[in-house]
Amino acid sequence: MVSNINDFDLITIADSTSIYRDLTAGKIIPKQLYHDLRSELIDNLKYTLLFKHQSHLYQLYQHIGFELILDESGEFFYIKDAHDLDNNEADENAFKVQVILMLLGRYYARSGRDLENIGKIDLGINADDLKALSQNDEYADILATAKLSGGWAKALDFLSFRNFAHKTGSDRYFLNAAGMSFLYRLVDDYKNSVSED
Amino acid sequence: MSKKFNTHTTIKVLFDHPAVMFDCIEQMDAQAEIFIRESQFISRLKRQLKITPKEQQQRLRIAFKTENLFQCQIIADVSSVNGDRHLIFQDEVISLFRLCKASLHQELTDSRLRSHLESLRSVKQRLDELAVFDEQDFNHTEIKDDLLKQLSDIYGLLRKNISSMEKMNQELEDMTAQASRQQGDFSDYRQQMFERVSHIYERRIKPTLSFLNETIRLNDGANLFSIINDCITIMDSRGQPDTAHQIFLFSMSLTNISKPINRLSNEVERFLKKTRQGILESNAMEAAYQDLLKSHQQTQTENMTRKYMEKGWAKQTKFAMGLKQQNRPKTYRLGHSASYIDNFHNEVTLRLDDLRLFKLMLPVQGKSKKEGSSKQRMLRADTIYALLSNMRFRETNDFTVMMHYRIEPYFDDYQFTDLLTAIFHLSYQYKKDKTGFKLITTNKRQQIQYGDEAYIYRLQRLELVESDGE
Repeated sequence: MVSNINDFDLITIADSTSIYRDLTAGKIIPKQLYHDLRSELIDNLKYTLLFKHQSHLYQLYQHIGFELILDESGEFFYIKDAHDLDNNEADENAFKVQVILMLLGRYYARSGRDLENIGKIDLGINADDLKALSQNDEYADILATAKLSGGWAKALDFLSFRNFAHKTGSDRYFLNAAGMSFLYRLVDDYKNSVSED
Repeated sequence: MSKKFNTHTTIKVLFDHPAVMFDCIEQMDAQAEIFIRESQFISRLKRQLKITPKEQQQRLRIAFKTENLFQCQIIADVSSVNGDRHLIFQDEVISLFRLCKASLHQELTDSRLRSHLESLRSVKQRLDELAVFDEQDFNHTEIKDDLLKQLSDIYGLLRKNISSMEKMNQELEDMTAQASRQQGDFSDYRQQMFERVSHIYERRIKPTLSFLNETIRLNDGANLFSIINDCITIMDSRGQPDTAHQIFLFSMSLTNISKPINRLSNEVERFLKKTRQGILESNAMEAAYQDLLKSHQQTQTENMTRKYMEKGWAKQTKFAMGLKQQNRPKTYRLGHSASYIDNFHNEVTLRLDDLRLFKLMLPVQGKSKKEGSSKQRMLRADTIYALLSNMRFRETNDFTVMMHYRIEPYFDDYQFTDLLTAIFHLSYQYKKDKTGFKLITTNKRQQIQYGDEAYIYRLQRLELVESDGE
């Protein structure tokens, strides 16, 4: 009988715990992660597990008061408090992530490069870019009013900690598919808004 | 009888309504002509008349009349071609208008640069042929003056152009911003933009850059810097160090001038390389940025109390909404903390005390009833106060709630408001005595749920009064 199989047996405690630890730390679980030693993106086992046992884990988190969310365009999982409908702090994090991503995107586009390059390991954001970004007073002001103090290095660390970007060296970062998906979403939204008229 | 103005008045009127001349000069430049077509001039004037107050219209009509302009020497010549008249304005007048508007600066095209270079070469040639270098010799002073004038002309011309080119930076920015707001036909707009930018690049930036390039080889002779260097050497070797120094300063200034152009050239080059996707992306970023700027600007209004941006912007995309670090359940470490156990013991002792106290006071409690009259309320508060004044306390950050839980079990008709009245009385007493404890009322508000009712009260902190000896 199928019903005799316990869903909990399908995923090891160690795996489930480490997924839980990441999710409760306020990180997203993206499909791929950057491997420091191999300097390339590798498939994220946690994502694969989450994806395979989606319904089980969805229920598990539901029982402990969270909603497990899969962002399909960005291919990443995260949890949010199911009872917290109007949570300021949670909105704030999303806001910070979005503001940083958007400013990076704008800076990149303005310097005449294709957005896609910001998500490439060997291109991305380098020390020169960080310098140019820091010299823009308007950006600095916007970061400060989004409660992001500490300048661009801190802002990129914020993104990296939450797994929207990865650090590849000192002063070198790139956005992963999750981070990029936000920029593409902005482009799509813009395209739709223009073609509607 | 037609009225006429003198030159001064006419010029004043022209400058009172500069838009007419600005537009006509722009048209003239666009058509690469040296004259303004009368038909264009008049139609532009008509548009200007529409926005001019009635009483001034006549003045405008008289001043802008071709005959009047000709009479005043503002127009140098009028020629009739194919039924349309061509107005050739005095160079001085046009230059004045150009001076007032940076975008009217005539582009420094290849041919203009060439002609300047040519004159410089001829001066240098005369310098080569000059035998006597003496301040008393007219030939010498004339050539020297001519040389310096040529150099300062070139410098002035380049500078004027650079100030208009520097505005290009801004124009490029505006263009992207505009494009993102542009709702019309995108591809048309893009085409237009490309044409404008490539025109500026090809006609203004590239020639100027090659003109200022020290290493460039021109097939018709020496380049700008090699002429200048030759002149410096000649002057130096012929005992004219002052003049040599002066020329050297010019060469320095000219070298410096190429910097902003270089920067601009890089920017434009990138702009031109953009693909359609690139433009779409950059416009999308710009549109999102403008949106964000709106909420950012709210932090910069006169009301400086708003320090942070509204987060409404993030909700549009719904990206990663609700992402947050969550508290994980923690192990209950009761046994590990000495202070926790101390507190716990403390609380138990205090509660036992309360019980003892309460037993002593039972008869008093029986008197009060749950009634609404102020007298009854006063009585109940009195009872609570009597109890409070005999209780023992410990320091706490929320005195109200602590008392609530300690007193509530003993009264059937307990009302939260009565407790507040009693506490108020107690704090008054503390203030008077200035011994033992002091009660500090904060501005923080706290909510308490009790029965069917909820109350909001101000947090009160109970602190030990420090002894004076310390």
